Amino acid sequence: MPEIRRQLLRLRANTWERLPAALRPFTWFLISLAVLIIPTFDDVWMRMFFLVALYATLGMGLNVVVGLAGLLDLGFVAFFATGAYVVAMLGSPVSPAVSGTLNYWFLLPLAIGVGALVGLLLGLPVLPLRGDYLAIVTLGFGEIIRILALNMDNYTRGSQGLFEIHKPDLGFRHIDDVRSFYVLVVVAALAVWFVTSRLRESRVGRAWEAIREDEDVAAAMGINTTKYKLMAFATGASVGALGGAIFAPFIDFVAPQSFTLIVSINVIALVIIGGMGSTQGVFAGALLLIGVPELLQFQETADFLKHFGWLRDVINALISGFNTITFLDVDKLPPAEDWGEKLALYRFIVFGALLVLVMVLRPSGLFPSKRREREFARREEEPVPEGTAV
Amino acid sequence: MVKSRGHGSRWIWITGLVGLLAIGMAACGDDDSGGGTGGFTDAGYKTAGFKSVTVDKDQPIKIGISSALTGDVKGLGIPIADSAETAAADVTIKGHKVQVVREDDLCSAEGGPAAADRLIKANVVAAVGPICSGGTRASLAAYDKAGITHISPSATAGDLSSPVRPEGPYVTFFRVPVLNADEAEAQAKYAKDTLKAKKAFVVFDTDDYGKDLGEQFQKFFKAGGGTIVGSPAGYEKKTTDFKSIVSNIKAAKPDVVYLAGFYAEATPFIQQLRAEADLKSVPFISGDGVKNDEFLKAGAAAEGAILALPGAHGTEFANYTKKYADKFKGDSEAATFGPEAYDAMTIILKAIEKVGTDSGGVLTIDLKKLNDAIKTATLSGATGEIKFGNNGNRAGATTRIFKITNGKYEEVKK
Amino acid sequence: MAPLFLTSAEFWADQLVNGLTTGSIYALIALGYTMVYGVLQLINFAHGEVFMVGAFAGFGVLTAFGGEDISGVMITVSILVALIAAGAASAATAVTIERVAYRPLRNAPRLAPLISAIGVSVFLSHLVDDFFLNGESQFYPQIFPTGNVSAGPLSISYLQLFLIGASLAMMAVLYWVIQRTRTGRAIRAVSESRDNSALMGIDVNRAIVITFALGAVMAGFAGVLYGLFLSSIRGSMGFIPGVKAFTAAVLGGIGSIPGAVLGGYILGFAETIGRELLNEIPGVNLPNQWKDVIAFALLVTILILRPSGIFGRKETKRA
Repeated sequence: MPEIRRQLLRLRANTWERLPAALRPFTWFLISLAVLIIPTFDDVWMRMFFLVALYATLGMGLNVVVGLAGLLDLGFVAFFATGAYVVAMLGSPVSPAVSGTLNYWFLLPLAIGVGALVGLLLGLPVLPLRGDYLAIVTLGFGEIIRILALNMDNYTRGSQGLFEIHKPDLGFRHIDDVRSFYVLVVVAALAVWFVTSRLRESRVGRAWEAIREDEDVAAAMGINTTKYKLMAFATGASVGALGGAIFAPFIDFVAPQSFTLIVSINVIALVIIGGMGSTQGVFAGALLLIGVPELLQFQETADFLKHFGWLRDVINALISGFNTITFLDVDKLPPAEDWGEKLALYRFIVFGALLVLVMVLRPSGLFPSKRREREFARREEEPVPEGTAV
Repeated sequence: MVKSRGHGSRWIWITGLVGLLAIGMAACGDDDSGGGTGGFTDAGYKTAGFKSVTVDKDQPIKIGISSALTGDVKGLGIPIADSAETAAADVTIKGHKVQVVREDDLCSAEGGPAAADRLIKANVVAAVGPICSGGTRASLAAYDKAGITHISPSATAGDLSSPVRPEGPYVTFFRVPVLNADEAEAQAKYAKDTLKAKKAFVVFDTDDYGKDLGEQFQKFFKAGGGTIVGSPAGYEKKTTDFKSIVSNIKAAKPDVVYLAGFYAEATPFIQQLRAEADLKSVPFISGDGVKNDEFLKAGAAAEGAILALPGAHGTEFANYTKKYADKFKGDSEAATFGPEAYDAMTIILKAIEKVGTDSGGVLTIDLKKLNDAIKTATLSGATGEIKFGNNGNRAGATTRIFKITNGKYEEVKK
Repeated sequence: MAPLFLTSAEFWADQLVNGLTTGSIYALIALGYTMVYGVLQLINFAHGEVFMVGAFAGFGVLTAFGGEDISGVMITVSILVALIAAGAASAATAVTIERVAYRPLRNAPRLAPLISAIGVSVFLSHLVDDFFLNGESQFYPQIFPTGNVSAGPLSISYLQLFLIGASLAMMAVLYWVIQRTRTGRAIRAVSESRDNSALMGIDVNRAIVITFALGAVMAGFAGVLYGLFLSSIRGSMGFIPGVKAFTAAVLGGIGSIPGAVLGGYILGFAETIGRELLNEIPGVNLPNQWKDVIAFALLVTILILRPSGIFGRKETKRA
């Protein structure tokens, strides 16, 4: 194990650190190209790209909380649900709480504001406490929001959900198909990207990173830690709500079933695996963790995998040979075209293993931010003495 | 650091501009429909994007199945998909084979429209599904827009056929199952007339199926002069601890315990209910979500349980059972909603047969005419006589009652 | 609205027993959280899955003994073997997790092992659910003799009596191990200060591994008791009890063993009796899931009023 680890660290020093820097302008070129080309795909693909962009947006929001301020939020779905429900409850004709619907362009900022408010209300009692507690309280809160939505039928219609939600209208174009929603979410992603990258380079961002590194020292340097932690939390929450506010008219069926722990796990996993604190990492993570499992279910994938029928035959021959020798009964592989769907089914197993692997081998993620990576590298060399506030 | 910051921000601006450009292009660009075998031509219909489909010579006619193939509800979903496929096996329409395209709708609001999109992309002419009410509701618009008529074998929530929208109900939506209200009426009637129960305790899954069914049962039971004792107890999927509810039931002393939900929770529930000495013999009634072989895993605790199952055995039933057993080695009695799926597929096949026009081996199917043919179809199917009434709902249907005796489902004659 | 006849003495006695049973299971799981936190200051998020592994090991043993057909003296034997197997399987799982996912990160920043723990938790629960069971639940055979012991309004089934008694006995044994044995002393020393213990010649790694194993054995026992009691088991079954048990550990003061036990019982009572009490208010009818809301509200209240828990030591703030 230590030997593999050393090798991997060396590999990183040689390849990873130089490659992204050299390729940076090229990376942006690729991204721009993707933005240009993606809208020419069909609806099935667009749905995947929509989800990837949506999760990347959510990831950027959570990145502020986890990557920059170092607060572990395991209940990000709560804010996602808040945004979706604000839009649905005030923008759906079936909503039992209010009669009449409001314009989407009014509801969108409202949802963001309510999200931030919920973040503040939740953070206020918990953020002054130890970080571990924040993890468990947010985890609980994510479940609570769902249970409340499920049981407060008089406002949310419970599991029967809210639908026919008012769609955004641009005057010249009614946003009601996958392609238009993709465009909407890309605009949102760019906006969030802009805001968070500006924040990161600002005084606020530096305060967040100081808190993440050492809260006591940050406080000693005159940073009001509670205030900045609250700010980070509220920023993340409002981005979560923004995502929810876009998701609601897209899915057009807002019900508690959509807001489970899985959403939180997806977002936290893509932030961590992609690379904490880095925006490219978040996009890469979203593509890997949200895009690939969807992609695996596509007909194109199945068609492609059909070419591997020979591989299946070879492996199955080996398996039957093995079974004959050992008298065991190992299952044969399914047809090659079903491999994609099988893999998609097992994606959470892979997520879990990836989370552990990334933490053990590459604790700064696959595409870390430069600064963050240096910190992790240093930490590995200098063990933090026990009892030090970390 | 300062240098790299300047560098980064320039790229942000450039990317932003490129992004805006892309958005402009996408906003102006027209939707392109996929090619593939045969093609769509716009027949000029105003409502529901009905088009005309051509199936080239020697190419199969594609029919979709949207069902839960993975996840918690696959115990219901896979037999449903298998049953639908049974109906299409070895069928040839005007020289074209029928190809079934299965997509996983996960029984969820996200999965429903995603599966619909994949089916539409695969150029299906019609579909069976989705199987769950939530997924159906979320995908109504997608099917409507593409002009693809779909028949759900199992979505039972009442309001699916009366959506709140100015255009009124979706013309592309039909369903074969008996609605929750009809099932609940039969259950309430059985509880009152056969079991002579006056006090019922209601336990329900808080999802849309369980909630609706539970409320309908209360309505009919009260209307018949019964009372609901205690407070109806809601639980969530994956709940295993029902002890608290059981204590409430014990205190309420009901004549009958009613559960609206699925087998995955009904199994531990019945075990915990029967573990309570006072409740060992109180009658237990549940419905279609529970009548499944998985529920029999509850063993002795499930003995005597009464399960209502919508739908009757029609003239085609024996035929369906045999074909299903041959093709999938499955027991059709265990395939809840299987006969409905079989009938849904049969209706689609007959309608295609009726409206498809052949010219030199190329089959043309006008999706509007297909929709009309399904609307007016009559079938003597595996679930009895089928005719669609208002808004795609089935007109007139019956519910059968089963009792678990010696670890098997036995139909009770009313 | 809850009708008044529900408020009979029998009803409340029933709910009291339910609270005690639920609380016992929470307490058993909470012990693992609190001990590991004591020595490593780590929330072992995968502890709920250790509990799940125990439940499945016990299920395997009972199935091997014949499932529903077990009768007579074999009931006692099979349950004993199931408990031992579950303890062993859980301990093996926990020790493996410690070796693979936590030890390499012992000196990493605080978030790293926590995330690694979440990874293990996601991995194990989905491995069982998606890979082995295909999303289906398994059901424990209902072999425990049914019947009640009654005293006034109090009526308690044999199974519940066994469950409460067995958990108390296990906790007593654990307490003895921690307080009276050499190993226990080593664990306590390590939780005071890892560095100082090492200087005193204590094998810190060994103490940590034993801590994980002891906590896991308790969780494994809890898994079997849970299965016998509630019958339905699945890969994701550990999540909610895990979170609740952690809440219990925080309630009692994380790091404190008596605190975890007390926290478990308090939480068990709060969930069952608390919800029913609220339902007594006219016009209120809280469904079953509200017990989670109540547990969570209790946690937040405790964190605000007394951040170190009931038995917790006053700690300096950590980031």
